[in-house]
Amino acid sequence: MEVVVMLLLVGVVGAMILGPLVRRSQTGAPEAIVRTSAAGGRRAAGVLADLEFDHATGKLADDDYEALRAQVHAETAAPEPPVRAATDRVLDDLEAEIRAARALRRFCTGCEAVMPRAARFCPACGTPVPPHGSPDDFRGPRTTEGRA
Amino acid sequence: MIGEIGTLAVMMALVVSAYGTIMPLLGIALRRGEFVRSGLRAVYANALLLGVASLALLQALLSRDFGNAYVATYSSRDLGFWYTISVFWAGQAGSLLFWAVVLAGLSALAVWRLGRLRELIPYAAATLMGTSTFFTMLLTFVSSPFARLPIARADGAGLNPLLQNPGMFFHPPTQYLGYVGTAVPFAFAIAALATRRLDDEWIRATRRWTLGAWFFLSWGLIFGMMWAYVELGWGGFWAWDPVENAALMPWLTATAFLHSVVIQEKRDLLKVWNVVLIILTFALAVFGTFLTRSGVLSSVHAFATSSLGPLFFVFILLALALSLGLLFSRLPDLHSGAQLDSLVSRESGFLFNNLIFVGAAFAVFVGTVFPILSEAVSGMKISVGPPFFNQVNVPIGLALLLLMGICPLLAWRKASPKNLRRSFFMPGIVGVAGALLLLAGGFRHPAALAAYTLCVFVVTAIVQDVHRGVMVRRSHGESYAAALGRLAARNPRRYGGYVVHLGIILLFAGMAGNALHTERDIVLARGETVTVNQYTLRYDGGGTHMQGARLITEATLTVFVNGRKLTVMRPQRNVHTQRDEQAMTEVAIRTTPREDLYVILSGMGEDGRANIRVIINPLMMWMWIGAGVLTVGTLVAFWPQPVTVAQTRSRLVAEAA
Repeated sequence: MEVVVMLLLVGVVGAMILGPLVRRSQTGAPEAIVRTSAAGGRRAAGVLADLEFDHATGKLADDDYEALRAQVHAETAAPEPPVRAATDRVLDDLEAEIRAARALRRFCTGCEAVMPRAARFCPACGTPVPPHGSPDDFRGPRTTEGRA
Repeated sequence: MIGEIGTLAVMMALVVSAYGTIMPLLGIALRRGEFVRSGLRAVYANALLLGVASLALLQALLSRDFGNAYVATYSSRDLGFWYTISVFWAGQAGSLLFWAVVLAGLSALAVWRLGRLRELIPYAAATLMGTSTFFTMLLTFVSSPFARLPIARADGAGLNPLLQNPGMFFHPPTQYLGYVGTAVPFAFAIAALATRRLDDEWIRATRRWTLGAWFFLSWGLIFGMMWAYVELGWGGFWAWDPVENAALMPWLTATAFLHSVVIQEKRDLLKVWNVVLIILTFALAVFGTFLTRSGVLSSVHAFATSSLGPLFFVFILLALALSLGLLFSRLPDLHSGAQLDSLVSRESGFLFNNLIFVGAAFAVFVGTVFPILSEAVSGMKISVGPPFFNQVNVPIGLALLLLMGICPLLAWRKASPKNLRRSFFMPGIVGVAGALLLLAGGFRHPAALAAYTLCVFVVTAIVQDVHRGVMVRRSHGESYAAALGRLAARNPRRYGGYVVHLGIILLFAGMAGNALHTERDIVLARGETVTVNQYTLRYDGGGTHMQGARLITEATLTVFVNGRKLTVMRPQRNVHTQRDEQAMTEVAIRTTPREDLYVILSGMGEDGRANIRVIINPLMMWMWIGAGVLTVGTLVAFWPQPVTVAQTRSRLVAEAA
C-alpha cells in the first residue's frame, strides 16, 4: 500500500513538473505585461478622488491640490507607454503581412475557388489557368473587396 | 510505513524546491518559456509534497506511533486530541516541517493569485523556493520528524506541561504564519529589483499579503502575551525574553513597512527605504525562528534548543548579502521622482514614524543579542534585563503614540498654519483636559500619565478626522450613517487603519495600567487575611493531591470587598512527576473591566502555611479587547477597494470635460 502511494507521489509530481517541458507548444519567453489603459485610468481616478477628499477635509493646501491634480491629469493624458506602442507596431506589421498574403492568392476564373499556387487547372471545376501575365491572374474574390 | 512516505515526500520536496529555484531563472536566461512554466509547477508540487509529509506526521501522532522518535519525545497516550495535534509544532523537527509547509502553501497561493505579474513571478518563485530549499534541507539532513527509534516505546515522554495551554495551541501557528508570510512581499521585492520594475507595482500586488503577515505577527505576539500572563505566573505578559523580542522585531519593521508603502504609492517617495524594510523584516523573521531554535540565548523557550544555529546564521547572512547586493546594484534605478517638500507634512510624519519603529527594532535587537556580543568580546555572557528595555522602549512607545495622533492630521506636502490650527485645536484641548482630569484625580505616575494623555489625544484626533470625512460626504446629501459606511468602503485601508489604531490605543491603555500594578508577597497561616487595595483575601487552607502524573498543591482564598464576600480563588502549584519534577504555577485570576485580581501560589510549607503573591493589574481586560478591535480593523483594511471601471471611466470623462 505504502509503495503504491510512494510511486503515485513520484508519478504525479513528475508529471506536474515535467509536463511543460514535454508539451512545448507554447514556446518563447514569458510575455511582457501590457498594462491596460483601464487599470491606469482606475488608478488615476482613485488618486483624483483621494486628492479631492484630502482637500475637502483640510489635509491638502489649495495650491498643492491644484498642482497635484494638474500632475495627475498630465500623466493620464501622456502618450501610451512604450510597451503598448510596441504591441501596436507588431499588430500593424501582422495585418500588413496578411493583406500581402491575401493579395497573392489566386482564384479560378470559372468558379472563383481558391487555387494552389502551382495549379494549371482548377481542382474544383477543371477550368484551365490562364498563362502568367494575364489580367485575371491576381484577381481577389469580390466578397472580400473593400476590406480595410 | 507511513513514516517512509513522509521521508520520501520531504526528500522530494528538497529536490523540487531546488529545481523550482533554478528553473525559472534558467528559463529567463535562456529565453525558454517552458523552463519557467516547469519551475512554477514545482511550486505547486512542493506544496503537494509537504502537504503529504504533514499528513504523514499527523497520522503518526494520532496513531500513537511511538517508534517515531519525534512522536515518542513530544507526545504520550494520555494527551488529548487537540494537544496531540499541537505536538506537530511543539518540537524542533515538527516546527521546521510546519514552517516549510506553510511556506509551500503560501508560495503556491502567491504563484496562483499573482501569476498575472508575468515578469515578476519567475523571480519571486525562485526566491520563495530558495527559502524552501533551505528548510527542506534542514528537514532532510539535520532534523527529520520521521526518524525512527531502534525499539518502539510503549508510551511517549509527553508534551511539556507549559505547552499544554490553549494559548500555546494557537501561538506557534499564528507566529509562524506571520514569519513565513513576510516571505511573499520579500520575494516580490527581490523580483522587482531583479527586473528593475521598481515602481509601486510589487507593493500594490503584495499589499494584502503584507497586511496578512502583519496580522498574524500581531496575533502571534498577542497569543504569546496571553500565554505568558496565565501560564508563566510572574504576573505580567511581557518579560523582554529573547524569543519575545525576536517576534517583536519583525513586527516593528513590518509595521513601519505598512506605513511607508503608503508614501511610495501616494508620493513616489521612500523607494529604497521600502525595499530595505521588507528585506529587514524577512531577515528578522528568519532570525526569530533562529533564536527560538538555536538555543544561543536562554529564554522561556529553552525547551526548543538545538544545534541548528550555525545553519540559520549562514542562511540569514546569505539572504542579506544577496538581497542587499541586488539592492545596491539597482540604486540608480531607485531614484524617487519626488522629494520631501517640508519637514511639517504627512510624508515627514510617516518618515519619523518609520525611523522610530526601526529605532525601536534596533534597540530591541541590541538588547537581545547583547549576551552574544558580550561573550564574543569579553568571554562573559551579560544579559540586559527588563530595565534596559523599559528605559529605551517606554519613550519610544510614547513617541509612536504621539505620532499616531499627529500623522493622520497633517497635510500632505506641507502643513500650513491654517491646517495645523484646524486639525490640532480640538485633539489638543481634549488631550490637555484629560491630563488635567487625571492629575486632579491624584494620578502621578509620569509614563502612565503621558500614555493616557496621548491616548485621549489620539482618540480625539481619529474621531475628528472620521467626522470631517463624514461631513464632506454629507454635503452630497447622504445621511450620517450612510456617509460613515461609504467612507469606510471607499477607503478601507485608511479607516481600517484607524480602527487598528484604536485597538493599539486599548493595548497601550492596558500596558500603562500594568505599569501601575500593585503587588504584595505574604506568607499566610490558615484563617489569616491580607488586604491589597480594596480586596481582603482570607486563606482558608490548602492541600495536596495527585491528578494523573501531576502532584497538585492548591490554596483556597476567599476574597472580600468591604466585608462582602466576592469570590473564592484557588491558585495552584503543580509538580509534574514524569518530567523531572518540573513545577508550574496555575494562577487564579478574577477579571473585571477595571482591573485583574491575580493570585499566585509561590509555595506551601509543611505546616500548611501558604506563600502567596497578590497582584492587582488595572485595565488588563482592555488589552485583550484591544486585540479584538485590532482584528476588526485589519479585516476592514483587508477589504478590496470597490472602484469599478465604469465608475472610473465616467469620472475621468467628467474630469476631462
